[in-house]
Amino acid sequence: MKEKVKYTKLLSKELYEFKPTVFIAILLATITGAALPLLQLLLSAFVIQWLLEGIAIQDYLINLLGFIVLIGIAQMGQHYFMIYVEENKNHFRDFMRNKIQKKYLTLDYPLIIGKEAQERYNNASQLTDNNETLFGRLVMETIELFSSFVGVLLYINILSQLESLFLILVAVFLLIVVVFNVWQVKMDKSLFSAKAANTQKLRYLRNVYGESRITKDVRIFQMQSWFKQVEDQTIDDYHAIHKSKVKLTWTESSLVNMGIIGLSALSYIRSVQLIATGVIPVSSFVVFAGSVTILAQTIITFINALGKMNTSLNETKKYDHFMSQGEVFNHKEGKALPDKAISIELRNVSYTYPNTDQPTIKNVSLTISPYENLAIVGENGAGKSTLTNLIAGLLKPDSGEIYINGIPQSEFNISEYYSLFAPVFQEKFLLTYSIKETIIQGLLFDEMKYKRVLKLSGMTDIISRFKTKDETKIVRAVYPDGVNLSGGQLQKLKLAQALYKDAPVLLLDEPTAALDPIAEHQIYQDYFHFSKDKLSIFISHRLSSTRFCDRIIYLKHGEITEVGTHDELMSNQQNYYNLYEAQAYYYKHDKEEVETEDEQIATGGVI
Amino acid sequence: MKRLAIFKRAFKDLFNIGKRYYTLFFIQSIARSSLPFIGFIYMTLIVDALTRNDLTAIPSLIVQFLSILFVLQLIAGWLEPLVTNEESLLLRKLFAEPNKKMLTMHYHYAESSEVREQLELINRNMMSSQSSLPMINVRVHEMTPKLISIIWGIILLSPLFSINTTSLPDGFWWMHPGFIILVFLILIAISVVIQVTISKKSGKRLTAMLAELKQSNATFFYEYGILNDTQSGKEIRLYKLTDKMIKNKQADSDYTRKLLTENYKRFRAMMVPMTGLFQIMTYLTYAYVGLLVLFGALPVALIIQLSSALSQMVSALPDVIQHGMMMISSPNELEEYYRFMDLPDEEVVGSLPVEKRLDNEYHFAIKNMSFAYPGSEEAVLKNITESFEVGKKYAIVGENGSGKTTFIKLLTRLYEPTEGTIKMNKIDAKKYDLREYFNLFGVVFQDYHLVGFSLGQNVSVHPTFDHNKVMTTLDKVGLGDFVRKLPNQLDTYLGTEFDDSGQSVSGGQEQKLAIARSLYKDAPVMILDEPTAALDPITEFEIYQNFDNLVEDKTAFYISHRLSSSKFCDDILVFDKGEVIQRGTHKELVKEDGKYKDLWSAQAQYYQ
Repeated sequence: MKEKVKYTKLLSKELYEFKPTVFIAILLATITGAALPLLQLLLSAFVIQWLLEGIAIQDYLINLLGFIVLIGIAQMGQHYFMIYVEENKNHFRDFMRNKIQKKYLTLDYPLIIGKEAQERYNNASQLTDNNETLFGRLVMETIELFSSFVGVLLYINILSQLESLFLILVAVFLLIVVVFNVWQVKMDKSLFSAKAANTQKLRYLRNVYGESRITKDVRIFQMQSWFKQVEDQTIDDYHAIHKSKVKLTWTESSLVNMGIIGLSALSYIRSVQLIATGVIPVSSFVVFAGSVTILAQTIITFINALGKMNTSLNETKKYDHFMSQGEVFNHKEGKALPDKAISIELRNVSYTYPNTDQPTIKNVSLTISPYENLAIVGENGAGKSTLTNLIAGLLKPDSGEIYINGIPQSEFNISEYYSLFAPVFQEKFLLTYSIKETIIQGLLFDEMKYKRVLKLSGMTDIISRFKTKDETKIVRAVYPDGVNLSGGQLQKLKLAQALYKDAPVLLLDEPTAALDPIAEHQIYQDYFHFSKDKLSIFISHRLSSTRFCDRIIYLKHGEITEVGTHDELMSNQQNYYNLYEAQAYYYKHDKEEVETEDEQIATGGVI
Repeated sequence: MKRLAIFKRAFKDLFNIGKRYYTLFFIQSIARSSLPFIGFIYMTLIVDALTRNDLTAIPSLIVQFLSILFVLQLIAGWLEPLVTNEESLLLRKLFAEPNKKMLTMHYHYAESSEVREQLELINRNMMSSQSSLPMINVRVHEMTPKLISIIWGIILLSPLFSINTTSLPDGFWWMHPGFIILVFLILIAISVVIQVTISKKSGKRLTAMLAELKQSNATFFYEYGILNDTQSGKEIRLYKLTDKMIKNKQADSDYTRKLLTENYKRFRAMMVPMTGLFQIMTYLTYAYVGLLVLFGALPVALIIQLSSALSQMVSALPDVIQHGMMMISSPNELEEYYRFMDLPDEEVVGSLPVEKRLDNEYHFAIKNMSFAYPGSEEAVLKNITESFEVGKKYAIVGENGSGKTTFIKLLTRLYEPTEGTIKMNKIDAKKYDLREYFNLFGVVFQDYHLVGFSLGQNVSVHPTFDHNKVMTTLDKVGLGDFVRKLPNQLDTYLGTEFDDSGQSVSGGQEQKLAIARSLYKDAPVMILDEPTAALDPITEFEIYQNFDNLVEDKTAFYISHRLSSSKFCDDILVFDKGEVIQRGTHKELVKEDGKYKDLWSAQAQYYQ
């Protein structure tokens, strides 16, 4: 209960922050919403009354006019507020979505990685997906709740004048509706995960159909009938999952309808009796008969709205959880950054990813001296990227500390700390849309530097081929008239981006994994060339690219097992040697094999 | 005319895809929308009896009314959950239609980037275009109950025609129902005209607005997708993009909001005259029927029936018109949709069955084959004449873009040659039934793709599979023990995309699964297109070593730009700019001067 109050407050606060006038619109829409059906009932009743009394034509027309003007005003008010609310409902959703996205962009990196973090974000962000989700329906839901509540009070009041037995019947009816509502909510909860899994499957199938990478396989392996059968199965599952829900709804509908018929019967019989005995006028039959239908409907609406509001308050928790996440890194003023001759020291650094039991980095100590070219090599999953992420301040060590020129990482302001590094990653994300923007990123524009970087990276050549030069858009999904850069051009662009940042530390995290060894080697040569006055860290699993580094560390299961130059490590004949030999096997053995002839291939090798 | 035809087709498609839904929905709508009118009728009858003080008729009227009410409400209530379920399935199916088309259209369309872009656009239009199938469905959903109301309204108004006009006093000739109905029709016509013009305008504005929003929508979806990949967070933070992105987002959303607000402003301005007109018509209805009653031409009670029926009609008609106008407001986008859906499907040109041979004696001869991609002048393959023997291992090498993969696409008939022929066992490959021809090949493409269904299904490419055969195949590629250790073994889902209980496997294991899939097919020809490109060196080494065991006595093609792999093949074809410039064994080729030697030494040098 305490939680519900807290979330009610939170939602009200967000609405208020969005636009205080929304509350007034909600209030007025509530009043007009509850009053209109009653006014319409009264209109018919009055008209019948007047006509039965044999009113004079002129009086009839004037009375009628007065009443209809009244209804007209109420109607216009109602429409006006509803349109206002409708409009702001959309704006509110947008407002909340921006809030969540903003938070997501500013969260410290460790808080966005891992399954749980993703879930936290997705849970919050899904609340803004459409008009059926929390922040899309909240305003409407509030109005529905309030106006149905007012309506219930109003019509119970009217009908109880007819017969006090009504109160009891209505109470019974209310009970039926509440019980089924609770039941339905319970069932929804118990079916939720099965339904979500089923939806996920159908959505997945749809994506697979449109997947470009599968077009060849689909044809050669003739997968259509396979897909069709899986889809049919999934749809059968869908019906099976919903079966119990359908049955419950049938029972509910039968009982609730019996209730409605009972209420109506009572109201009809009683009012006819009273009219027969002359206690009430004939015209009031219209009011009582109409009220009972409206009351039944309003009660159902009210209980449903109450249930929905309850769900909404529970869902607010997801929003609150996401938004109340704190900070991991130091965002306060930090020590001044060194700008030249950076040295990095790791002391007993360990790191375990959330929800894994094995540490990815185990007690690593390492000193990288100024202007050194360091290569980190190892098999996939050895922790190479994690190690660079720790150094770059994207992850925080669980234990141990990283020092920059002797100052602990945590004593720097994190966003200042980030300016020490110019990284190039394997995944080439484009979050800016023109070539120019992509090179500059979030940094200040410096014309001289920009021109120089264009030349150094070879981008000048590429740009000159486009009509719009460096303003050329490069994301076709957003700008259909843009261009698609080739893999090589993208590499150059990313090089330019790193050069423009001109940070003292260059980080290369397998930027060329998708290229063949020759192309990769050339790109690494480029980077070697630009890394002379920088501290640089190279990661690759192709040892031909990294062998020219000043020093190579071999990482295995999160630990440094070998350190040295290429030649030193080769003469050690350990893991590094094995890995190198595996890559070089066919190239090397060829030469020696010229005499020995085949045989080599048929044997050996373990799968 | 053409437009009419296209909408007709859209309706037909909708009803075909959602047969069950529409049947149930129509029944439910009739039951639900009839309810209020049944109410008006009985209310009139009861009030009539009351005014005539005829109390004996009332009990039976009440019983009749409540029974009908109960039945109709039950029908509507019982159908409700079924209709909801069917509707959500229908929507899923509608949204999957364009993607499904990708499975059946001719391969060269499916692969072309233009068709891809077209698909993306169509998928976006599904949500934003007023004339997309899902939106037409929404309109049908909205219009059906209103149409039923209009029909009921006309029925309920019929007593007007049986009025005793003689009872009208002199000078009130204009109260003749024929005349009044004419007046009403004129009023309704006016409101319809207003509606249509306004709808047309607002429809146009809406379309214009949606067009303006296209850009920011595209940006939103694009960024949303990228942000979901947390790896992008690294770049955002290290390149200080956060503030810039927030600013852009805010600007985008301000712009959207401004457009929406303008649109709503128009809505609000429209509301005053519309509500006014509606109230005027209500007034006239009550006034007219009231006067008829006062003149004794109608019983009092009929005012309930007549005024309710009229006001229902007056409110339903504009809605129907509005929805109808919206529905047909973007025929171009619907045409675009059908242009996409009408792209030719995989033609079944050949009809010759492929001879089943247990000895796998399938021989391929290529003669003067050239090829240019559709819509392109540039020949990717030029005048190739080669033949391939049964049971040999071929390596296809060459630099990127030399035509290696294209050659395989032609050999497997994903594309047809522009010139020249491919003969299989001395008969033109074109003459064979395409499906049967596909069955000759087990291919591991460089960009192979497994799906999130169970491991066993991924190997067998079928919902059911021979358990033992799958396990034997997995043993061959070295995955047997891994799979046996999984709690659900072959029923384990691959990855968590399809089913959360699934198991993610490493890149190497995926590659092995893809190879297993080709082996399970037991096709006479194995093709491996750069199967080790994404692997770490150790796994790559394992696969090389085991190559012979895997392909056994099948004919095999091995494509790689890493020449180390070509050493264990019987015959090497060197591709350069679409031509086969050298052919021979590794030992022969490495001795003669030429492309092969160049490539070999270029790569080998880094490992000396």
